[in-house]
Amino acid sequence: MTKGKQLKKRVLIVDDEEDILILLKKVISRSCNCEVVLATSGLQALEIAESWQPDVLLADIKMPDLDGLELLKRITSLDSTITTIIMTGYGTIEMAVQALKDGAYDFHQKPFDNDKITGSIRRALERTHLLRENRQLQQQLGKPLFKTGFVGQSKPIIHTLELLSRLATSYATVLIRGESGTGKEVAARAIHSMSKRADRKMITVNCPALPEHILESELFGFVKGAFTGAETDKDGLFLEADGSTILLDEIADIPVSVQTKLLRVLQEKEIQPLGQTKTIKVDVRVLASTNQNLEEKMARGEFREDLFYRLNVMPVILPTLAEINEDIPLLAHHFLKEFTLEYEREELEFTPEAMQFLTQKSWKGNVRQLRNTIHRATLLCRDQFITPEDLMASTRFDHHSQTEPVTDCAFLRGDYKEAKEKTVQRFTTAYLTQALKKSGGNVSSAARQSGIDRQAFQRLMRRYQIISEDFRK
Amino acid sequence: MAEILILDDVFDAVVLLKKILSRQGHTVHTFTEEEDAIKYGYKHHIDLAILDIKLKKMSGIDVLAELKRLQPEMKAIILTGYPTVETARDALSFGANEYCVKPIDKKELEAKVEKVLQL
Repeated sequence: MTKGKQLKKRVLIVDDEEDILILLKKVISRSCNCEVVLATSGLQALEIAESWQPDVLLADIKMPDLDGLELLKRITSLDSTITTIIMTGYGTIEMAVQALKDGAYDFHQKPFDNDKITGSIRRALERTHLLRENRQLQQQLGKPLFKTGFVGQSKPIIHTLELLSRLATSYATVLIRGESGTGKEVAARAIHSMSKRADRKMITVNCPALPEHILESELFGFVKGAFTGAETDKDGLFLEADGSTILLDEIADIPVSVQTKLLRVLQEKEIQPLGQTKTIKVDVRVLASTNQNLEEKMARGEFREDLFYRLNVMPVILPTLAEINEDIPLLAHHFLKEFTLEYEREELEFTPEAMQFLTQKSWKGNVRQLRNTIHRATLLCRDQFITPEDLMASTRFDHHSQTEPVTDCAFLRGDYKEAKEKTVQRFTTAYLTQALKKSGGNVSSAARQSGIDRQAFQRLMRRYQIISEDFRK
Repeated sequence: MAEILILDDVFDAVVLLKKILSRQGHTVHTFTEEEDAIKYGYKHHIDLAILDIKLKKMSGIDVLAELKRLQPEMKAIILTGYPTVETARDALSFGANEYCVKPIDKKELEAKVEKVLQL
């Protein structure tokens, strides 16, 4: 958000009794750290509100020219982010109900407790702040700011974007590093799309997804008869990426034998398909990404040092979501917009409390986890407003459905027993989740389909904290 | 005619309300236990819930929040013998359409129910 000098919050108080005004001004300006302006009639208050734009209006009901309830209506139509609190000396419950129905935020009866009224003013100021921030973010989203795929205005993001755009113009090999979910592939796409090669398709290879031999033949291609089953020639992905960019995703996981061949491509800019003696010149920009510690891998002899230095010509380190915490509201609105469009639920909005929840939660899975949480909340939320409960219900899935596959390498390290337990937990939660999804949350049917006793199925659900309600449509 | 759920911990109150509203042609489901009312809400469509605030274990406003979560379209009237500004504010912010004070007379109740159902 705009940093700069924070303006003092503004409270407008209107009452026809001057003694009360003076008393309230003293109490509120002292304990709420805000500017207070007073008005002695409804019309005067309306006039001040138009020019001074207060955050909160505290209004008495009984006033000679324009009563508090009418003033509330006019103020709301003037600026719906102004939060109004009504006070009265002759309050009835019916009157309070009417004021609240008309959009008042709170209702106080005179004589009132100073702490109660200042507490109420503070909450009202916070509400207005969140509403205005929300409105501002919505407006920013309307502008075509985000061609790179990155959303954010924090220093680390702006710095990253500058770096990416500078790298885009060069032909250098780029190593993109960052924790899982920070957007390494997005960064690679940004580099490609800002480069002169943008009109050609970028080729992405998910290295750990392919077994050693297949990875080699996929990358470099083969000729007929190179090995059993090689019935025709096949171009490799490097040849396919000729004139364009190739992204080697999760480069840390490629076997040493392939690393050697890769080094050759980077040094000589040529490939040698399996079973062929001639080499082929290629013009490919190589981008590589990893979330692992390559220095450690080098020390253990699992990653070639010379390849590391070839790749690490231009390193880009992506910030974690904790480092760009101030961008969470912007990101959240961006993802919400994306999913509400996809599911045709344009009416969905975050409540201020939901936004607070998002900014305060710790996101180990970074932007991807935030995106997934909002995705699920969009699907789970039945109302017009996404509440912290909807978000909590959807983060509950997080320890169930991790983004990495069960065979993820980072996961298979450490103590055997512990690793096994974790794998089993991950498997079981994924299995149960899938079964319950299929049955629409019907436990008996899910158990039957899985060939397990219903009680046993329920026991597993309890152990892994899976709730059938989460899957009911 | 509407499907109406009534929840009040006083059995006589529930019976009386049911009598009035059934005569209007509505189908009325009565409960004195909050859990039973919520369980009912899990499986059946409700057009209008009429809830007392002071219940045995939970507050009627919590029940309102849960039912609204299950059925956002549902209308609601809160009925209470102990009206306060705080509960009125909470009830309305959780989606109640009316907040009425007990005792409520037959005519007023019928009018409120019709008004809320037409919203």
